[in-house]
Amino acid sequence: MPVETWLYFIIGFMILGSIAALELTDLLSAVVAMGMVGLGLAIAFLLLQAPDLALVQFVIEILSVIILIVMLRSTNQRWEEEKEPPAMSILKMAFVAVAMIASLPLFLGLPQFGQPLLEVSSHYLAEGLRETGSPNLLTAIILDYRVYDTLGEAIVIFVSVIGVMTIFRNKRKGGTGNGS
Amino acid sequence: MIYSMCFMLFLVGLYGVLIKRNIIKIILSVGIMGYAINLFLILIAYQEGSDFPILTPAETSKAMVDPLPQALVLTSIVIELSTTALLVALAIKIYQRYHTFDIRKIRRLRG
Repeated sequence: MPVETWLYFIIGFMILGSIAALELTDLLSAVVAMGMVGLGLAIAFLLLQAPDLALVQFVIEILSVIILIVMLRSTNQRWEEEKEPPAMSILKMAFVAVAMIASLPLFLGLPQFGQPLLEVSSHYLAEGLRETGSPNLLTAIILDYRVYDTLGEAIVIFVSVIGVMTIFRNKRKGGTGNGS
Repeated sequence: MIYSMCFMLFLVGLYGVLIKRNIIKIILSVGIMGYAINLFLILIAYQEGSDFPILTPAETSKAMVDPLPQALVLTSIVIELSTTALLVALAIKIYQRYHTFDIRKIRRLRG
């Protein structure tokens, strides 16, 4: 079977899984359905010839499911009780449907699936090994051509770790009678 | 056609952000939107009948897929995890203060 057929199957699976994740009232099941969607994405990356991404997505997905389950555990909330009134949700679904229909012409302007525009990348593919000495061209781009991008990524992760630490430190301060 | 299916996945996430009132559901929807964007960029990069962008000693003359979007998506996946972690920390903090995940009930200020 061609890759495209498999991709239709996997993306359909991901859409169904995300609808399940949003509509289940049991929050733990919703988190598990979300993990299923992420693992489906890892398989899609494998089909699209991106093995490095598939590995990273696999690990990151498991970590994020663990983080979400830890959140459910520490707050002891298992069920979703809140419901949107039906009139509002019909209005918003209509908005989403209009967005779907209005954006369909946008996809006609894109290059055909399977024929990418290799403009900058053709240089990387041809000269990457000679200029950087890395047989893995992904590593060549991440750690040589676009190294400032990776530096920015590290800064973002650092800032988010600082943010999480700050949020949880304030909790202890409030407990010692700071008046807040 | 396959791009518009990917966009449908994005719209499912948008629907969740718009309609759901529970903070956990909103975090999940933001994650779904991120997945759709990553998948879209990798779909753009795919080349028919070509190999992954790793040079092997066998020197096959096969074409390779576009490595640039893959490298940038690798960054984006990791940043998404840190976003999720920050959102979860904020949600836990909100729950400790208001004892609810309903975004309509956490409006009032509490000293």
